[in-house]
Amino acid sequence: MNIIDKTIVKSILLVLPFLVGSFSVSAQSNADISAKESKYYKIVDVPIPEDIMLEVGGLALTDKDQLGVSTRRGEVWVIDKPYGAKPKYSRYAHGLHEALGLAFRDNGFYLSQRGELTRLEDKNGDGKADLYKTIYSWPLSGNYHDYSYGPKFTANGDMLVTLNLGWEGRGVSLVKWRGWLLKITPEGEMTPIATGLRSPSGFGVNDAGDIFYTENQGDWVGSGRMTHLNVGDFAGNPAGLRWTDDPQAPMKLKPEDIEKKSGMSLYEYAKIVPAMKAPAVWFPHTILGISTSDILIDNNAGKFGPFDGQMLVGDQGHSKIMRVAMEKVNGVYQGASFAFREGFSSGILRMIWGSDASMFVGMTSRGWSSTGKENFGLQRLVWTGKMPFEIKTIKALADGFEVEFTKPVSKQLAENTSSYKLATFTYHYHNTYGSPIVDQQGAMIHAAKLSEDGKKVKLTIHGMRLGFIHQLNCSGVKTISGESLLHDTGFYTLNEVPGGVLKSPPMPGMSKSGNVADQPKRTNKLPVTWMDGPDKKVLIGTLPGMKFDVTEIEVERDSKLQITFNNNDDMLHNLVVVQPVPDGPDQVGAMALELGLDGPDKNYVPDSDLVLFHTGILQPESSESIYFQVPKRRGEYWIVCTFPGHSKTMRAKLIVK
Amino acid sequence: MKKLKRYIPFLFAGLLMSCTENPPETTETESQEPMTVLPFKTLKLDDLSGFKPVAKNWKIVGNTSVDQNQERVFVSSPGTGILLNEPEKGMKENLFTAFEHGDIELELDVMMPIHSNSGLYFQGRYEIQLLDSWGVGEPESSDIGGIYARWDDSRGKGNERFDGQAPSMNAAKAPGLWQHFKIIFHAPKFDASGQKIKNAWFEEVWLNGALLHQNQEISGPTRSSAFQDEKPLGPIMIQGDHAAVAIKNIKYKLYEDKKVAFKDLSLIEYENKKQLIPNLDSLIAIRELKTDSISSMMATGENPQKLLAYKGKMNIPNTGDYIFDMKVHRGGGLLIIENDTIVNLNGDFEVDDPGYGLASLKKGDVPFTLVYNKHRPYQRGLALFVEGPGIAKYALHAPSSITINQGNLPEMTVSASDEVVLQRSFLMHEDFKRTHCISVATPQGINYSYDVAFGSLLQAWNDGFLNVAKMWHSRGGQQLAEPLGLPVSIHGDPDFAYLDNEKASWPDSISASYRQLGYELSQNGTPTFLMDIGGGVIRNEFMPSDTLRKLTRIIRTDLKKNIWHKIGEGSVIEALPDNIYAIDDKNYFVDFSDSEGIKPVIRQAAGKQELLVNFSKGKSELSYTIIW
Repeated sequence: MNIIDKTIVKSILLVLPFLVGSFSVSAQSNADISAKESKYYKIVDVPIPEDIMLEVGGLALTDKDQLGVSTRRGEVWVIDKPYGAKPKYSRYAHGLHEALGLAFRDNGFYLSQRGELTRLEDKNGDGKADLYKTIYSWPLSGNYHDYSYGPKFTANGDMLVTLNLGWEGRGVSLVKWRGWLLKITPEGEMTPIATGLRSPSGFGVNDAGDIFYTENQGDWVGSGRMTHLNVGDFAGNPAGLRWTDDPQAPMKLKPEDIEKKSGMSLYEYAKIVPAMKAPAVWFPHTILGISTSDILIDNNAGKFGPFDGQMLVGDQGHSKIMRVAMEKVNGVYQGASFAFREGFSSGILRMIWGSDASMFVGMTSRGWSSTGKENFGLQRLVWTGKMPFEIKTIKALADGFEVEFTKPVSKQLAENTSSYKLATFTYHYHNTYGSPIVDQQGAMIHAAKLSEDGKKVKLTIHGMRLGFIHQLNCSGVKTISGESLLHDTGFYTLNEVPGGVLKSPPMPGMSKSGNVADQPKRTNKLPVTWMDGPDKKVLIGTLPGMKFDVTEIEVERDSKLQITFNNNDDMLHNLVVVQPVPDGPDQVGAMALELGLDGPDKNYVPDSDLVLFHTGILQPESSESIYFQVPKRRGEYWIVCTFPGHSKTMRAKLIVK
Repeated sequence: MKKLKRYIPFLFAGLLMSCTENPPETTETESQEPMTVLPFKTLKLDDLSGFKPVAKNWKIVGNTSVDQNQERVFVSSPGTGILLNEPEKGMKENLFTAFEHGDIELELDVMMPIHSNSGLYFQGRYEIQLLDSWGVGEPESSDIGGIYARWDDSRGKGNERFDGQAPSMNAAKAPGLWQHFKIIFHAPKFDASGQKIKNAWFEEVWLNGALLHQNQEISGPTRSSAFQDEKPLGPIMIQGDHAAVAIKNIKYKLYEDKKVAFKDLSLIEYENKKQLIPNLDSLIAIRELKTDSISSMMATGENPQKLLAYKGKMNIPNTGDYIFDMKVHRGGGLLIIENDTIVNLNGDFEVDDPGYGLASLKKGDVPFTLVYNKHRPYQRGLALFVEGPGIAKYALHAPSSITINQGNLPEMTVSASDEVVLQRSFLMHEDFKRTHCISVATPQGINYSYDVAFGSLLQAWNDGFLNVAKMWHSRGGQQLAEPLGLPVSIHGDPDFAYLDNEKASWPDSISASYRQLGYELSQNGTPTFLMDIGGGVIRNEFMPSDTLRKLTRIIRTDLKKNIWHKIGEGSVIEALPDNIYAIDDKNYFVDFSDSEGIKPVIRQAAGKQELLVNFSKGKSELSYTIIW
């Protein structure tokens, strides 16, 4: 931490155009939605003995229907009877280096450690591994952020691993092949497949053998997303391109070939850089998670509910699971993301299927706090057998979308175009951390036509845009019996349309307004009336694990205060001064979450009387000063980061004397 | 390590500044590094002239090693540099230094033959025990490094012993290895009438890198002391009447009870937020006051950004060289004595940035200015230490001036158990971060680390296993595990290499044909590490001794062509009887006595020596034991 001599970087987040008919995700509190979801999908604890630190890094089911768990402390546990109330834990292996993946095959486990792909085998049958075979070893820089994930098996028995970038104030590939997807044969032959990866903790292979990975918001990554990776693909973060001189590298692109601030979206930029691959699905940041993790494909043939063949995607920071309905259009993957289930106990890193079509969810929040407050956890997600009323799929048409529901819907409501709201937006592709929502436009449902079985609606739309995320809200659609959607919004990433030609007419008059969000509680200039400057200047930084570096600050009532917030963390933060009510941070945090898509525009600061003053949203390694007159009323005010998920830990007291 | 940032200081009112360019005249080395401590005096061991006349059991020799088959026997060769005691019947006198000391800082290396016994008596009175305590589990005051017990017949039979202090751990190395002592001793203090007002005490006793005692008082002379009274001064006595002992590299600093005192000290406090110290005239002085101590706490206000300028005189007690050591915690500072800038920390510095400065000062009052630039509101800390002729390094600042928070990591350890425990991590090995390391704790209490990426044994130690807080607390930003004991460090280069010829230099990176294959665990969890290098398969296994600091390495090879194995390197490698080799000036042994017919090669390599052994193609097996 080096607070002062860091160049004071002005927060570059543009305050975005406010649109007529601006929308937000329907505001439901976390507890409400979790209770509703639990009717259909219940969360069941897998008890963990008190002396086991089960910081889950990997999960794998054995051929004896036992659950293998690899941990960040380097152990592998085998859990017998993991479905019951009394699972039996036995330690299979120990001493590994942060094993963030696990697979079972041929009577042994495969796992990634920080520095290698390893096979574990219990040759003498005593329940403990006695062979720790190095399949393939890769170099490490010594940077803590060099995480290694996997393996996942391909159909022909090869293994895939992904290697996280290091962190030095930005993502860095300090050694080969950080930022890459590698394929490794069981004999240890390695082939680099694709790069552009930043934090690829979740990846998987579908039935067609296609590889997908999820990405976390960060530098060059505007929001969480899922990208289909082929040999030679470049997914967006240029750090890994450093190694394309290597004869094994399947592309020749260089880091310097990528503009740091092109002003384009990734989709647009990919049109001019052939090796570049636009995401198949975006998960709008803070609305569908903040740090996507595992991908799990529902292959339970209906035993897990109505989403057979769809993908479920975990989120570490928000302790929740999202759902993806993917399709392939003109050979290109794309699809819709939905909320699915929240309320897990810790940060979700791993998900696998149990033999009973329930899902094991393995969690850790050490170093990266999560909405679920436990340090680690293991839970199961079980379908109750009740049919949720959900948007099952959204499929692209040349002039609209076909939306399928899990239950027959009311024809009258489904064919009423005002049952739907549609907006399109995207993110910047640039070297800064994250992105605001940009180029947001409304779109119009021109017509809605229900299918004969009452489950599919064909929406004819004006204002669809290729390369944009289409937020489709169907809150007006109800079942025949009047049931509302459990989750009423899907986010469809439109890369292609069937037939190749978009036939959705553009929306008239939808130019960018250039208006800026008016946030009068944010004063970045020394007020002209403060002739003698501020009475007091306070400098606040951050500590790892989403904390301010102060726990309380005392100020004089009615004094002129300058607060400089220096975001020396590696994620986005703001600083909001909140009224002296005991649950002020929680209330403001909840309201910030409910801002939904408007969150970035508003710096995640809700319009609330509880909010007194605030900064903008700050990039890592940037700072911002705000000026305000301290309230006259004495009391214990709050300083809170209202970036979604942060307000629980990132708070301090502002004591007005 | 953060590099020291250098800024040209601005001139400010009333002070001329220039840098001292005079090199110190008495440095021990030619190094360009700034001097951080004043040089020690060396007790030359060219002859016995540094000692009082003594019987012939004491002599000066050129090299010593220990007879590993007999108790208390050295093998020595003529020369100089080593002080050797070989007592015989009728000739077993104690040895006294010619110099006498009160407060003293002493360093020396000692070698103990098997079961040998001697002692270092400060002032001829207060004994730090010398004994071959290798392998002792729970050391007592009578083990090496112990403060040996006093004796009083009047306490009754069986209770005569008192006041002994066992060392905090057994840091003993094996007989025949050099063991390094560092001891800071304070003589008893007396009033004008000669009445003792303070007991003697050992401020610190270090052996082989372990702190054995800290601020341990002793009420009077040890049992076998040369004198029964207590005095301000006395010679060091090395016990010669018990058994053989060898000592070398004796160096010391004598300290007097003198301090650098401040006179006419005043403080001016200024408003300042700039990192580079501006001309003080351009600043607004808030207050000026007389004071008698230096402290960062004098910066007033809440989270202040201030500049403190202390001006006054230092009363220098002895003419000679003084080393000032200034530290600022995320701030800046300057120390100006007379007209010289002695320490220049003008800018933004952290506590571990070096701020040393040397000044040759004459006895009497010298004017000085000390500037502390507290330009960061939330960071505070100023320290100024001084060491001078006869003056041990001590703090000139007030105790509250600096608190150095080393990051409050919780205690997180991995411990040995009944089964072998392994833990992979990053590890520091001689200032390099190794990323593919496995540390192994055996039930016998012997631990070692192996770098699988290099195929090399890195270190071995006993006592506790690993501190893992830097790996398992929060994100584990360093990912380091740290040995909870004193490791003996092995060379760390690849252990195996194909050399074009016997003279080819040893590679410091792994060959492209190297592949780690992982490891197998035996029934009790002992790993055998496997590697493939150029189609040859090599298996490495390590077996601890039950009771002693010994680790036996078993190497099994199946090779397509001959390969070399580098066993050790160091300044000097010596071949001793029974196929034992002493590595790095007897820092540790490698024992080949169980591998008949194997002859390792000692070779010169760029200013050091290496011990190599060749494995022939086909299958072979070799074992040797590392002893420390």
